[in-house]
Amino acid sequence: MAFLETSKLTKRFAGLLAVNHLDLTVNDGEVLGLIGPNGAGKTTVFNLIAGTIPATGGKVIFRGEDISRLPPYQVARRGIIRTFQLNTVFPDLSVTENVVLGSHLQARTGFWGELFKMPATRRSDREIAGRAEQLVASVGLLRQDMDKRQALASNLSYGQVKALTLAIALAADPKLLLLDEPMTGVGVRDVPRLLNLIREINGRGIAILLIEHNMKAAFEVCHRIVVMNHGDKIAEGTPAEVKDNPDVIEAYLTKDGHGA
Amino acid sequence: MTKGTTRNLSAVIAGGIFLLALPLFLKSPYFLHMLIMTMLAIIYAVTLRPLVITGQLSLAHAAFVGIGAYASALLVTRLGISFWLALPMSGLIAALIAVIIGFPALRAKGLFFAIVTFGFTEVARYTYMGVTSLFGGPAGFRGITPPVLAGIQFGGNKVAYYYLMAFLLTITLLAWYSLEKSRFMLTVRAIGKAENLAEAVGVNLTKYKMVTFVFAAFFTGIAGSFYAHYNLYIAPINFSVWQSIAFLTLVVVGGKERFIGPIVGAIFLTFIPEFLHGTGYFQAMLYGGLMVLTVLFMPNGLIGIPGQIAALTSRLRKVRKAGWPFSKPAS
Ligand SMILES: Nc1ncnc2c1ncn2[C@@H]1O[C@H](COP(=O)(O)OP(=O)(O)OP(=O)(O)O)[C@@H](O)[C@H]1O
Ligand SMILES: [Mg+2]
Repeated sequence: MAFLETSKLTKRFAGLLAVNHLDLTVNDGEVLGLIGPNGAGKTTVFNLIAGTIPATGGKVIFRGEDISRLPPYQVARRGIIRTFQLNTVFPDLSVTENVVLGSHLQARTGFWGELFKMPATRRSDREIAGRAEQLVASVGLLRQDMDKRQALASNLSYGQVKALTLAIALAADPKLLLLDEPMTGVGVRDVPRLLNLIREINGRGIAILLIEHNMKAAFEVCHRIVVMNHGDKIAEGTPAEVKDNPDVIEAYLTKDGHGA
Repeated sequence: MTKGTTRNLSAVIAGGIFLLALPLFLKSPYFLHMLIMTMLAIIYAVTLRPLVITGQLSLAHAAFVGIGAYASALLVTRLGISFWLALPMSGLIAALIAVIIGFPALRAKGLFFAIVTFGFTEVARYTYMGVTSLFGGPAGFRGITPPVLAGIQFGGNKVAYYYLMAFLLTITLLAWYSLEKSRFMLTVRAIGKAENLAEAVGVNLTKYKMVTFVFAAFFTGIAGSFYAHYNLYIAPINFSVWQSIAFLTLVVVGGKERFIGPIVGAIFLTFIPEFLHGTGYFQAMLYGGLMVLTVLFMPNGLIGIPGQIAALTSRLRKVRKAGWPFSKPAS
């Protein structure tokens, strides 16, 4: 059964058809690549799935439930966690605080528990702090030679911010992770590390929908790939199938985009 | 316990003892009045800060003071309820009204939220002015009775009011400081910094904004009740949008990043103008001027100044080390 399915998903901005009747299926446990030239509509698809913007038409079904009209936090509660194309972290807060915030959904006590510092709150907070530490380590921000836990997110290097965005997303305990261009701006030497991390995340049973301009990386890590252009799906298949598809080559050649 | 919390705790205890002992050697009613007004301002500012952090520039804060004040005045003078019961009830009434207006208001963001709360404050004020039979109209509500506690008459007894206010302030600060160190406030700060990311990891923005809004209204309503039974007279003009703007000034000028910020702002902007025998004009000029200076030159308010000085001196030191003439500005 399809894990995530969009049917006839459509978004129109004024005169522009950013996403046009898109049918997309992410299978359970799969890494699905979503590629296409600049302005193809990829990020808009993320925004529609995550509930950030309302769709003009069509549906998003996640594990059998229609989530098309849910607000972002409700989509997150069902296990779909997205990252943003522009590295988004909580600036002026520490790395640990950032990851603790990602664990928002794991917290088991509310306002009154926190106001009166109930034992259950303290326990829950301790658990979350422990998990946050593991996550910071798992994305490489806490190693023997480097401890970034107390560093402010705004003082991290570009690659470290990338790692932090992943840690925040993982802290939210996703079932489906939507990654918007995780390789962009990452140094050549760090790309294999990031690919390994993505494989490892996927190995834990988390399905991934990956937008990526780095074709080599995308072909390497994705099980299947969907190609978009001008809001339309123009190809779909295994990396090998997509690579030789004439429509795909055409789309990339007529654009002065990246990759190809 | 960490070193920081021990230090904070001892500072709080020292401050508490100082405030408790103050009336023993400072008996001037005028001075006590100033202290009471300053403590009230601290309550307004501390409760408003989380809203400012999330970017909800509420112009309804003064309205909730007014709701607490009028509710309390009515409960005591018309229904004969004891002030000691009316005090918490006023907080609850303000909180309830905050829930009702919060639903539509919190759908709006930034400037729109400011406009909606502006409208609400004006509607409340015109209601007091229009419904003369209940609220006394533009001339105000007279004949509010001072509290009595175990034979202690508060009327004309500034020391008694001082201790009551100190008690209310302590409760307010304890509650909000407890939140300050919690995941709740961490989330509130996160909403202020990256709302879209907070939402993407499952934060219900409306709920957080609602809780800060309603919780603030509760404490503000209680402060309003105190004010009514301290001043013994309230008028619509006391609870105008201008008053709300003054409260926002306390937070912005003091600095919203830290808990102490609005406290510093409230002391600086309430105590000092009163101390200088400030007239209305002087006060308005001071508030306006400081607001402009803060926005232009002190992004973190008064509490940010030490950090700014430190940054400046370290830059100057670097400039000197590099051997540039001192008068030549660093690029
Ligand atoms: N909020 C918006 N309002 C108006 N137009 C928008 C909006 N968001 C996106 N668009 C337009 O929709 C089209 C698709 O944008 P989108 O960001 O989805 O592309 P993308 O495939 O992610 O591109 P890139 O690879 O450059 O990130 C673009 O033409 C863009 O200008
Ligand atoms: Mg994009």
